[in-house]
Amino acid sequence: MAEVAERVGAGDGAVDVPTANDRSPSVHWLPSADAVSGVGDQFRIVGSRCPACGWTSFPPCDWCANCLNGPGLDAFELPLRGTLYSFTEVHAAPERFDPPYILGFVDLQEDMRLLVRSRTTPSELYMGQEVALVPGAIGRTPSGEPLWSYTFVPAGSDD
Amino acid sequence: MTDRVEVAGIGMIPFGRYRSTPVEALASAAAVAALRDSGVERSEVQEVFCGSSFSGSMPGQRILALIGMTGLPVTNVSNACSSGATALREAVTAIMSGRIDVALVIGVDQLTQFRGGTLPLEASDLDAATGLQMPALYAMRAQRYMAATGATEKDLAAVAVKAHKNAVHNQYAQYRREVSVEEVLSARTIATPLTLLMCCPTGDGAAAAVVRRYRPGSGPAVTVEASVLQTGKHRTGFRDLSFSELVGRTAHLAYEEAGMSPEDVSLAEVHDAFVVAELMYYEALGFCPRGDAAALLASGATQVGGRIPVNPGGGLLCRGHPVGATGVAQICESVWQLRGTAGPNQVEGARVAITQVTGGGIRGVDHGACAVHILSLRD
Repeated sequence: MAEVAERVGAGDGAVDVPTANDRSPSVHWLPSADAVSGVGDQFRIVGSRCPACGWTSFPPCDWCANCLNGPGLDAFELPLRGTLYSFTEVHAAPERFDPPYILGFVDLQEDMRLLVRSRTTPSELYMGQEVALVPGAIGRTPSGEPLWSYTFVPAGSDD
Repeated sequence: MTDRVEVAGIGMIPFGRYRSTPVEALASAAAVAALRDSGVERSEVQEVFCGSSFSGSMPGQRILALIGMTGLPVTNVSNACSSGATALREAVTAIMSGRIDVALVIGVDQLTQFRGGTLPLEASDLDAATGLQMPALYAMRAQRYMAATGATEKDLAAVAVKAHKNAVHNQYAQYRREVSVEEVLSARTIATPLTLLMCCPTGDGAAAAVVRRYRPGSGPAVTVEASVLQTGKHRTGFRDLSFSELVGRTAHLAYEEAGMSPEDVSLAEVHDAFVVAELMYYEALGFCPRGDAAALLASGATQVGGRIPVNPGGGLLCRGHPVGATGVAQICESVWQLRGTAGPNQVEGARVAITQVTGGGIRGVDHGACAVHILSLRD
């Protein structure tokens, strides 16, 4: 079991997030602990950027799909703020995701859109809203362990 | 193109739930129906193409063993919801290339094997692992589509109402009961704003077609005027979810191949797996300008008897969507329309049909595969 390091968020959306350095097997980060981890100021989402053409991608990868530079690209920290492009409250879903849950597309920059879960009440969300990415629990792995990843909240509520 | 392929025969089984029937048995019934309809002997079939997404290894060979067709080249095709239409394209290509003259195309899937719920996407796909499935993706499209066009949830419901009304007369449809807008809106929520009746049902089914080289002067025939397959462009960033670039591109290539335009089309079988898809595909197939799909539906133009009937048999929403079977089922229903044997849903004077399937949920892609066919009646 991961040691509880910090309670992130407030009220109903508060979650307990493992330590930034926790690599214990029972802590599962989606897509991986190399791509997303940390709490508070240490929270990072890391993708790749091609040193030759600047093309960015997430999760991290070895080859530039734009210019085929590789293997090996530069690490790239994704912005942690973006715009909510669309979202839905999913009711019919595998039980391990604890439906109903919010799913949304967040545009972090022109060339980076992520599909992100949220624990915010749907009535507080709207398309075009500025949102912030914070760590959060998103369910369980197929084998039943807790699953963490980035989640979005209205920007400003994470301050 | 000077050579042509004709659809010599078709057959399908009523789509529904056949949990205790082996998938090979479902498909063999469709295959036999198509062979009988075509008058082609088993010994004349030179190759078989089988489209299926969830039937495991070598479904084609397993099916053919049940009907005494073995020892011939079999190609199994897996392309999600476009599997059946992709199989047809492979058969068309094999004949057009001169390699063969006669092929059997089968499309089949048995979704009741998943015991309900949404279809499993690839576990390695990050979006799927985050909790995305097809209804949620289409739900987010619907939100953007409504915001971009002013379409409402009642407009979404109206697509389902039309589908159900058409399916009453379709003996092959899984759902054959009329519904009202209110019933559609108040059905169980799947992913906002989509309710259960705005989504195609989970079920099983099979359809088949015998295709062969067309010989001019051999009498009335349904020929394939276009057979196009395209893939969504992968984008890491911004993508407009309110318009299907993939379907627009595929349809454009199909019209070009056929030397036709949307005005030439008598009826369309489109991929209405979710109600918003039908609206978006009116636009992508060129039946109305961008943003006008809800108005086109409301005008009655896409009803049987309208200017451009769409899904006159109830579409995926009511026929069902056993994914590999759908592309071939659309061909079956189109051929019956072009032959004039579609019964109460007959589109008067039908001469040209367009079929479109679009499927596959892959991260960053406006669907993995779109296949469009155009069929024409020749005297």
